[in-house]
Amino acid sequence: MKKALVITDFNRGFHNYREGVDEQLHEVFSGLLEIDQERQDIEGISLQDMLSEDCLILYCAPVWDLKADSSFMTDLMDYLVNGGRILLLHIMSFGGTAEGAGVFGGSFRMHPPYNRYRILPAKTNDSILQGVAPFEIEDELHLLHMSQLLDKKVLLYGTDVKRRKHAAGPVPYQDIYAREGGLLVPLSWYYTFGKGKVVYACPGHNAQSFQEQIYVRFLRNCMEWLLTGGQEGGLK
Amino acid sequence: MGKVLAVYNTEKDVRAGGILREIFKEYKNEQERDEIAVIEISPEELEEELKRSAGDKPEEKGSYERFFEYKAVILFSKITPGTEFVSAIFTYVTRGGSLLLIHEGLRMSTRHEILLLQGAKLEWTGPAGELDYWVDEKNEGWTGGERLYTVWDEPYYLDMDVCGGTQIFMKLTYGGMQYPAAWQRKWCRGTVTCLTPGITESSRELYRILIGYVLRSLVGREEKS
Repeated sequence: MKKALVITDFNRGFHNYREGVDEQLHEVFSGLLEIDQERQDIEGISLQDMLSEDCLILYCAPVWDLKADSSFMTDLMDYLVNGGRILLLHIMSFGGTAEGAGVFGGSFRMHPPYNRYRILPAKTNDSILQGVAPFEIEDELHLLHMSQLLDKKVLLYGTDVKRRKHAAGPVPYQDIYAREGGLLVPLSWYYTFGKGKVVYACPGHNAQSFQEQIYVRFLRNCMEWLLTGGQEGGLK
Repeated sequence: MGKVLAVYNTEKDVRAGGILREIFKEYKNEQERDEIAVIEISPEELEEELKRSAGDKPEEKGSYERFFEYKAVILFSKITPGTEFVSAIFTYVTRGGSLLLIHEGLRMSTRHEILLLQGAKLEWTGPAGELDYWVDEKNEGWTGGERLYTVWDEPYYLDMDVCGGTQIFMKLTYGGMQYPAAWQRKWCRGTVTCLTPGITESSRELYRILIGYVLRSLVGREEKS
């Protein structure tokens, strides 16, 4: 059985991994991989710790204050480009540095309130989206400043559930998320990086997000893609 | 100062390689008065060497340590880098290495790993002509007060990364507009320097200045570390 290390936070008042997300993630990936370690001591996680796993799952990992030349950041970049596999869930917490924002897809900009949203898969035949139909989810969906140099392929888009038309006003995200027939917000993407692979998926505000069955199917597809070959070399 | 590694198309870019080699030979390190040895290799040879290196030591995850014997790695040809090379150079810079990308070395746009390091993507090149390269006022100290260099060259226009972290120290005036022509950026523990002018007889003097700037910044970094 493949193994994963979850890097997260157990103490924070919001997005706390121990408030049911842990149990849900074990269930989401059951049969595919075993989550054998869950850690929040970011600066204590070494490259060797990363290399001893088949995949890293970062769930709202508190890395936003880390400098780009910190041990964790340089080890993570090293791990990834030399064959590491990373699933980044919900918060794009690497946006505090140009390096993190560039390599993982962007930096946090804003989010509309927790709400019910409609998620649309990208129009592609990629097997990673096999069986993934449009679905609705209660969540807090994040808008990012996107990294334009990263060659990523968008998998999911978000839109307002009723495609309501809001007047552009003092709350800018209403216009972005809910303009009738307007913009779709990229919420998930995947790409290879050197010999490594990354998937970012935004839905995951709390444990309930991981009970939506189509989203579970999507995450399992993503994990299968992460864990299988596809790149030259690789760690193992 | 030690050795730098020049990776380029050793068949096509012979003249540029020769000019660069001469400039390095002439340049004396201000601290140690040592000459700088330039080691040259084609990207294909390097890719093969890195693959062999990784293959010899399967228990080790990468072959980037090959680069750490060099003070800097220089790329100035339009090449198609392999995955082994991309992974190795990315790790080298992340771990503290210095990468110098010159002119066509900035055209490896098929690999986003390299684009992220350089912090920009080439959008277009214009027809060759007499071009004015300007050194920013705050950087004129390292050019001895000289601020304008006119050379026969091909203008490059690059889309700069909005994620930031880039210090532009030279600009190109073209069609009444100013464009970034040389910049340096930190990447984790390393440094990436990008120079858009081509290496030609016309730009030889400019390159003597630019290489001096790059080497001084490397020496400064060594002193800090």
